[in-house]
Amino acid sequence: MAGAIFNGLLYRQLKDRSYRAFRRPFDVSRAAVFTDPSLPPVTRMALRMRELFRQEEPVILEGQRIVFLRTVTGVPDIFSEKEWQEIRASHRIHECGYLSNICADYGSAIASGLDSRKEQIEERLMVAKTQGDTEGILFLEAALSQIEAVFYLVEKYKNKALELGREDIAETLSALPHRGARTFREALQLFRILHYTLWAEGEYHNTVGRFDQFAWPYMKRDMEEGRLTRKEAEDLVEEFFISFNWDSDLYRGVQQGDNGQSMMLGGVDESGNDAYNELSEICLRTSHRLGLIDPKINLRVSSGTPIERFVEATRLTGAGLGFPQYSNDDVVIPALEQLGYETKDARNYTVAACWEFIIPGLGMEIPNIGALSYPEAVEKAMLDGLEDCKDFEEFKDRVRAEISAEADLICAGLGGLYIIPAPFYSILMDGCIGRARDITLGSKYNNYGFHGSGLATAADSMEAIRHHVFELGDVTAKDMKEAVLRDFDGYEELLHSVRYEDSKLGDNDPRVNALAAELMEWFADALEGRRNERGGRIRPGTGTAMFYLWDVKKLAASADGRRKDEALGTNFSPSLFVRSKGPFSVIQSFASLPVSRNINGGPLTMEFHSSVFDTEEGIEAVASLVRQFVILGGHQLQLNSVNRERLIDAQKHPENYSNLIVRIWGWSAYFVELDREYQDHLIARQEFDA
Amino acid sequence: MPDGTVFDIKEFALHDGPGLRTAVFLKGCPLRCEWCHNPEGQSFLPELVKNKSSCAGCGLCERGCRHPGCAPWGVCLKVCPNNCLKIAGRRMTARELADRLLRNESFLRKGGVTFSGGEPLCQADFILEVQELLGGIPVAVETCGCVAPEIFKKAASAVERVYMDIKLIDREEHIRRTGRDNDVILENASWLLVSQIDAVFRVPLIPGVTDTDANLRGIAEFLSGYTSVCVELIPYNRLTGAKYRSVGREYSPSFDETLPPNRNTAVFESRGIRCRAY
Repeated sequence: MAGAIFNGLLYRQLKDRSYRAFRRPFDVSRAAVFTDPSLPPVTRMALRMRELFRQEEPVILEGQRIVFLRTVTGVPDIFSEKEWQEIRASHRIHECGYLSNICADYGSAIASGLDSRKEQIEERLMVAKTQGDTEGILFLEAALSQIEAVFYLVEKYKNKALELGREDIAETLSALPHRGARTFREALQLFRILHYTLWAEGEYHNTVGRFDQFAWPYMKRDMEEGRLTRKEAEDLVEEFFISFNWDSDLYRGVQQGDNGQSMMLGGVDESGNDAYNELSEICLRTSHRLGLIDPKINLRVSSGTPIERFVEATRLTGAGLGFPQYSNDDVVIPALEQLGYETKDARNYTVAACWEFIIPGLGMEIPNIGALSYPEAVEKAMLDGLEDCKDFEEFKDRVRAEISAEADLICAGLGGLYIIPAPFYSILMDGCIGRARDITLGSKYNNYGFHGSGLATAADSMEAIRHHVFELGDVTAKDMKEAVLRDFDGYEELLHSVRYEDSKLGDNDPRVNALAAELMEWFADALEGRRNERGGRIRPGTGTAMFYLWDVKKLAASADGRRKDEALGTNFSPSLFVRSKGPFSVIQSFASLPVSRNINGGPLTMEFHSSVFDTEEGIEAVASLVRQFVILGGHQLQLNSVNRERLIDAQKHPENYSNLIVRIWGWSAYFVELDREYQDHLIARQEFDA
Repeated sequence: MPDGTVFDIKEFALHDGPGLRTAVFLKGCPLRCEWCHNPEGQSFLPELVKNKSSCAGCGLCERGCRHPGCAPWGVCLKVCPNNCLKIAGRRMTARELADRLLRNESFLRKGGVTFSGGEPLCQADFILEVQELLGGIPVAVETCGCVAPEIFKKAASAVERVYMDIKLIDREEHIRRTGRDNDVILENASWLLVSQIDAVFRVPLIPGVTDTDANLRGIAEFLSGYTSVCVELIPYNRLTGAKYRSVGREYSPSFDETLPPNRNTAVFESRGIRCRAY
């Protein structure tokens, strides 16, 4: 159904990895140019990219139209280890220190080209010089240098194209970076150049944003004016999608595949009108046809979205890539407005690398700066004070206080943020040139976000305590504590009861749903009204990222019968070992929770056996299930088509499964490239069959 | 209010009717089909199901206990660390079951509830009572048809759709393979064919047993003349054996499980009968 691949030649080169033969290590003897300690960081960043582009050799593959390939790898850091130590001593460093996880305003840069940006910078530089604004001067000079570096590399590619007799490429490149795109092909090529340059500058988790919005006018005009057929457009989009996969292995996050190249489709325009278009549909189908892990597809939907669109998207889910991930405009947009986002900006939301809601061009947000562990709060409340609690309400107060204390602690560590300047990224963000300040120093939206991991484990543990200690009274507070501390050794009956017989989040039991809702409200209350040092808010969320594995290292067993070292569920999902009553109950449980106040992002994740997608009835049923999730007010949903037997076999015979794709917490990956603990987590998840 | 014995409730059942559905499996069946893939649904009584593949052999369940509920089973049901032991067959009132189903009402309004089994029409009053309480949510049944005609008619007339198996057309063969003759089944089927009820006839394709051209032709002959009828051919489920082990029974089918099913839709289509093979 997905049809044959247009770009077979390119696809084969991607899969046989022959193009990687062009790669070579960075010539480190040239690193002194940009590691000179007397130079300011922003200048070093510009010098480093200039040096990288000097070393880059243009490669044009057979059959390629959208060019730019990374050939130089292992670019040294701008700071020495000693410098890093000093920076860390006085600053908070987020992850690697480089800018990540935001979304550029590609649309306006593709439209205007870089000449006009260059002029703006030059004009602003004159002002900065008359003002004696040294910081501004350094930034603007670095930005100018980055634009020149891009022009330089484009020129090299153009000459290479001419040398190879590829006049079409030379022609596309000749005016392109200067005056902006006029055709669809030019728009795709310019996007590629800009996105490539972000990676080259050193930023990571470089998202794609609302591609079907900013590229659609070019496709539409080309088709209206007879320059492009639908088929040619599909062919180009396919090559464009392939282009995200050439260099992605160089951009490894926590695991291979965690590279943040997420694309958002659908949603509304600035005025709130449905903006899904022909290009959106082409993207869904192209992703299905190619079966590659990048770009990672997201789809904005609402209760008004026609069922056909859910069906189209479900076909893609059936391809087993872990896409698309759905975001519900009905919930997300008002919740963002509630947080202070302007309506037109809220309507333009996209996602960061995984699922965090951010605004292209305007957000210098760090939506993954911290993570609250719900189970840790419950564990502390239990170990420190369960025996002193007269009733369950008192215990709840203790949990609430622990959540508040944990939030305080995370917030206390947020000050003094330093991010390595990103002069080229700044050029693609709104207002940086006008302010003469790097994007890493702030933008219109400077909100932070915290993940909230282990919600289900925490809610289920509270339910077990409520039920056994305070309702039935068949377990004393002391025994419950002992059982958890001893990993239930000697408490087999209690283990069986709390683990398998008690209600769980996902069973649509109103009592457990209410406990989970309270936990989320307490988290939101703990962050309500807080401001970070940049004036931004702190948004509580429903994602876990890798904390579903990391958190358990510091936890004992838990009162819900989770054994010591057993992983938490991923994101906004039932506990890992729980076998819920079924998809309807799971969706109802999670859609009932107060996501509007916990809007940092993080989807309900559900796994379906691949055979569910074998028939039209199955696809239609999944589509209406998704629609029902949206109608019930869920905020984000991500479905997987999986087959546990295949995963187990792939662990035994990885050589037979090099193309097997799975979804981890917010990104898709090749199964055999994952560490074992991530593989095992996938195998342990509940799989709904037909 | 009648009680029912339920051995499973499955949300999002895809093969049991259109839309978003929950299937309810009722315990007990008059037939003993050799290939039955729900062996725990045959007996009308609750029974112990043991998931041997998860059993770590820790022996905790055999240590003895004082739980009144465990006494009839000879093992403790409340201690297994891997949850291997379960009782298939839970008595539920119509109210209890309806309440359980209505918790997902917004989904079921876009599909419905299907009663399967076992033979659900052995508990027809229960089904009709639950249907009453479901407030218009469409109800379907999956029946082998081996129930008294008056019960069959009453239940089939009340529900939205009937899925009825016709396994074997030959009477003797039917006795040999299912333990009962097919007289009442064919009588009920004949009535269903002339009724205005939305019905789908299903033939399980058991290699060399029911999927022979002769049997399929015989069934097609039986149905011919009723061009509004719809037939579905359902291939044998090769995972059937595993379930028998969990209820402590031998599974030794006399047919070759590995043979590909004969999806002969042509014998139906040539008689103007709509037919779909899965």
